[in-house]
Amino acid sequence: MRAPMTQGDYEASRFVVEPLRLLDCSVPVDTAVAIVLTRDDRARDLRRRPVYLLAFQGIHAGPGEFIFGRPGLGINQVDGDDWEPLGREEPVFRRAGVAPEDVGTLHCYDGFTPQVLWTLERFGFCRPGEAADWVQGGRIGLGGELPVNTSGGHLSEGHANGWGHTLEIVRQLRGEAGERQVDGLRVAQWATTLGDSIIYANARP
Amino acid sequence: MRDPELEVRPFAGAGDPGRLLPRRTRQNDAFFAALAEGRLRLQRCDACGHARYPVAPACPRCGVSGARWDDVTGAGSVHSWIRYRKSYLPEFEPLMPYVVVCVQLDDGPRMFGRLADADGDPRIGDRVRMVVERLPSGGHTIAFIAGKGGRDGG
Repeated sequence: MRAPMTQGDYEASRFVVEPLRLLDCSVPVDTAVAIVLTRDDRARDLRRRPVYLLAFQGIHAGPGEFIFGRPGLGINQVDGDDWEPLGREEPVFRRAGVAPEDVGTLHCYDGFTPQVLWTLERFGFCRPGEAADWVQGGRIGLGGELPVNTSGGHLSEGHANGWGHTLEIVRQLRGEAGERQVDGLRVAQWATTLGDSIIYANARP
Repeated sequence: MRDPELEVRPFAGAGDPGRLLPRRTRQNDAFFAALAEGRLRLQRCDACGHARYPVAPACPRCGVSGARWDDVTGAGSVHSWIRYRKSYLPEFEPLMPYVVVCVQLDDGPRMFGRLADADGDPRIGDRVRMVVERLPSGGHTIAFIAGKGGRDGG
């Protein structure tokens, strides 16, 4: 989707599963993305500038947490305990040697709009329950404190299960994102509400 | 002691959504057999007393596998809710739009069900109680209706 969306457009879109409207849902697409992953020593003399993968973590699972089952992050069924996201304690930050404030652009799984808010809370960009306020005033737009899903993400560019986000992260870190470029970018993060995440940088760790 | 019996009603939708029910297994048989009798029966951990749902081979809190089956009331409070505005299943088409509640049961776990008598928007914390819906093919599923009072009411 390319045309700007107004509040009125949003409110005029029909409910699918209330409270989610059609414009809360991602855009199904057919697409293809290819990523070449190789070692640092091999990447160094390639024609295209490489982007470095600093650290990653997988989907979290355990006795109190399974996919789509975490209180505050989805279905809420497994237990009735109050659960707080790990935030900056998520292992991926330690492995990458960065903190949330070092991340220059966040690219998150956005099959539905609330997942953007949940990801911000889960990975410590704001406090639990505060994301809806935190994103106000252009904070996650281009030129804001944390540009999010600069290529439009699943909600606008199309739902490619994160591959479109990955392509955009590479373009951003190479400085090839054109009018969407985040200035002075060094570190970019991919993350989902389920806990999986990859942190990338434009230089070797 | 309260009588834990739940009202058993015919399925309110059209046709038979029995194909959507979980396969009966040795593990979940007690749950569905109880439902057929109008009882909500949950596994309660032998070691820590935690009542669990869905049916599982070990306690999600402490990992111990031993558990006994316990009849519970099926009463609880609305934890969250949504409303289906798009039909995904023909059997539920006549019920459109319908509300599905996530209910915090008084006896521990949270369960989902259609709010069978929804009148306007539910509110978080509304008291509800469980009813059983019998499918034409003989299976059973659950729904909720408005309840009254606190833990010992309604």
